[in-house]
Amino acid sequence: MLMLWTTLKIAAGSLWLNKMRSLLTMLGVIIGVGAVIAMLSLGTAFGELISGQISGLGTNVLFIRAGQFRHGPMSSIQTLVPEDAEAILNIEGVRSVTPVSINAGPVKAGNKTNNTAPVWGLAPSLGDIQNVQMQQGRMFNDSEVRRQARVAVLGPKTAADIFGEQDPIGSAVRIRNLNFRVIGVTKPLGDQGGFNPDDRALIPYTTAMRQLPPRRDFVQTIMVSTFDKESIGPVIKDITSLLRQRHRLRPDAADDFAIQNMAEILETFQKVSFYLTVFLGTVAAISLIVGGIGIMNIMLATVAERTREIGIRKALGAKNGDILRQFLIETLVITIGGGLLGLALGWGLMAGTAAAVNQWLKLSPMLQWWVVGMAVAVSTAVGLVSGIYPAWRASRLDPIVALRYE
Amino acid sequence: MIELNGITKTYRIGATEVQALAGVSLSIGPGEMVAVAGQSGSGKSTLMHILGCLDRPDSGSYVLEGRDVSKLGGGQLAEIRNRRIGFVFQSFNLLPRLTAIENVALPLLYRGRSDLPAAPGGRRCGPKALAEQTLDRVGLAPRMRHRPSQLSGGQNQRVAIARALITDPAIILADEPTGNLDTATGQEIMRLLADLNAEGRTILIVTHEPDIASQCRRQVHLRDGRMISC
Repeated sequence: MLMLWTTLKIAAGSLWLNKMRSLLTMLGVIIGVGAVIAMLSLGTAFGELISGQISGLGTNVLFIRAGQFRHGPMSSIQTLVPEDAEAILNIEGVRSVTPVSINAGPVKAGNKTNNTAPVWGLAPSLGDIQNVQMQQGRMFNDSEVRRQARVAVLGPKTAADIFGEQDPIGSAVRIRNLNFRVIGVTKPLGDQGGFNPDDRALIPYTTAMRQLPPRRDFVQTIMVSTFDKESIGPVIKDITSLLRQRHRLRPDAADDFAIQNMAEILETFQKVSFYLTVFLGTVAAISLIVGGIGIMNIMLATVAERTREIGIRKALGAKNGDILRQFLIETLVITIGGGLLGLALGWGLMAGTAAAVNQWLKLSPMLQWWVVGMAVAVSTAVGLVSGIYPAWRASRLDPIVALRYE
Repeated sequence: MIELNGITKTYRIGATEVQALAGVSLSIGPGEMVAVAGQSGSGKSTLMHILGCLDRPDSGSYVLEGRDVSKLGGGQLAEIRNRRIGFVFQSFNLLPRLTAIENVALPLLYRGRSDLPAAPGGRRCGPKALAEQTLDRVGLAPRMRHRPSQLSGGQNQRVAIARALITDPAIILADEPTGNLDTATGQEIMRLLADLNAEGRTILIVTHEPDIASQCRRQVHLRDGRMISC
C-alpha cells in the first residue's frame, strides 16, 4: 500500500522542482475556476439585486395602469378613477388597494431644493402594499385623504437633501408653489438602482389630483396587493371583469387598462438571470475543459520523461495500482492546487467587479459555500478526468523496457 | 532456493524473432555467490529479468523458495520483487530527486507500515530508522541526506546495495554492478558483496567481465541462450 503522505510529498516535490511548468499547467484551472466562480457569484448577485428591486415594490402586487400599451399615449385615457380602487377592495383575495397619482417635483424648503424626488399621491394603505415603515412621525390617515390635507411624508434622502441635520417634522416644504407640512419620514430601504424608494415625497392622492396641476379626476395607476400568491390569478380575472363593467366597455372592445403582475415579472427576471448565470458559467467552464486538456498533455509528457523512474519503482515492487495512484495524485495536486488559487482569483474578480460597478449597481456578491465546494469538486473532477489516462499509461509500462529507457 | 528448469524466452524485434533463452536449467542453493557470465547477446540479461521476476518465461518452470513463480500474475510478481529480491543495477538507478536515505527506504513504500522487516538486531523500527541502519551497514550513514548527484559512483552503488538490502531479500541480483565504476571502486563493491555473501546472503552477479566473474565461487557461462558450463 502506497503511503498517501509520502506520495503527496513526492508530488509536491516534483511540482516544486518545475515551478514554472507547474504554474503554467495550473493556469488553465486557475483561470477556469476563477472565471466560473466570478461569473456565478456576480450572476447570482445581479439576480438578487433585480429580485430585490422588484420585491421592493411589494410582493403579490398588481399594477393596474390606465390605457393599453398599444393604444395611444396613456395619459389620454381618463377612465381609471379612485372609485375603481374602492370597488376593487371588495374583491375576494384583495388585501389592500391604493390609487397612485405621480407628479414631478421639485420639493423645496427654504433655499434648498430637491429635483430628483417624484411626488406620489397615495392612500395610507401603501404601507400594506410596499414595505414602507416610518422612521419619524407618522403616515397620513384616511381623514387627511378625505379633506385633501396638505401633508407630506418624505423619504430619508429627500428629507436629508432639503433639511440636512434639522428635524423636518412640522416644517413646511413647497411642492409646485403649495406649502405642505411634513408629518413623517420613512425608514431607509436602500437605493435599488433606477428606483430609489428613499428619495420621494408621499402625499394624499386627493391632494395630488385636486390641488397640484394639472387638476384631474383620474389616476394613472392603481396598486393592488393580494393576501397570497395563489389568489393573484383569480383576482386579475375579477378585476378585469369589474373594471370592464365599471368602464362600460362593450364585449368586443379592448380593455382600457393593463394589469401588471409583479410576481410574474419577478419570476421572468429570475428566470432570465438564472439562464444568464448558467450561460456565463458555461462559457467560463469551457476554459476549464481547455485547462484539463493542457494538464493531460503535460502529464503525458511527464510520464514519458519519468519512464525510468517508473521502471525503478516497479523493480522495487510497485504494483500497477501504486504507479497509477502516484500519477493520479500528482495530477490532483496540480488541479486542486489550481482550484484553490482559482478560488482566490475568482473572489478577487468578484470583489473587484462589484467595486468597479458600485457607482451604478449596488451588487453585493458573496462567496457562498456551494461555490467553494463546487470549485474543489470541479478541480478534482478535472484532475481525475485528465489524470487517469496518463496515470494508466504509466502504470502499464513494462518494467524491463522502462528500466532500459534513457 | 532457485530451481530453473527448461526456461525458454523468445523476443520479437520487428519481424525477426530472437530466441534469448533456449532451455536454461539452473539450481542455486542458499548462501551461494554465483556469477552469470557471457558476451552481450548471450541471454544473460533476459535470464536476470526472469530471475528477478521482471519477466515471465515462455516455457519451463522457475521455483523460488519452493514456489513456482513462472505462472504468477503481475501483482504477485511485484510482491515477490518487493519482498524476496534485491536489485543492484549497472547504472545504480537511484531516483535523482530523493536523498540517499529516501532512496534506500523506497521499497518500504510499497508495503504496509505494519509489514516492515525486522532490523538487524531483531528489533522493530520505522522505515527511516531502518534505512539509516542499512545505510550504516554499507558505510554511508554520514551521507544519508545527500542526493545521488552529490555522491560518487561508488557511493551511489553502495546506496543502491543498501536499497536492495533493506527488505531483507532471499537473493540479491546484481546486473553488471561494477560496469560504471573504475577498477578500484569496482573492487570495493565486490568486497561489499562478498561480505554480504559471507553473512549468508545468496548473491547472483551478471557480468561480462571475466575478472569479476572469477571472484565468485561458482560461475555459469551462457552463450546464445544456452548454458555452456555450470
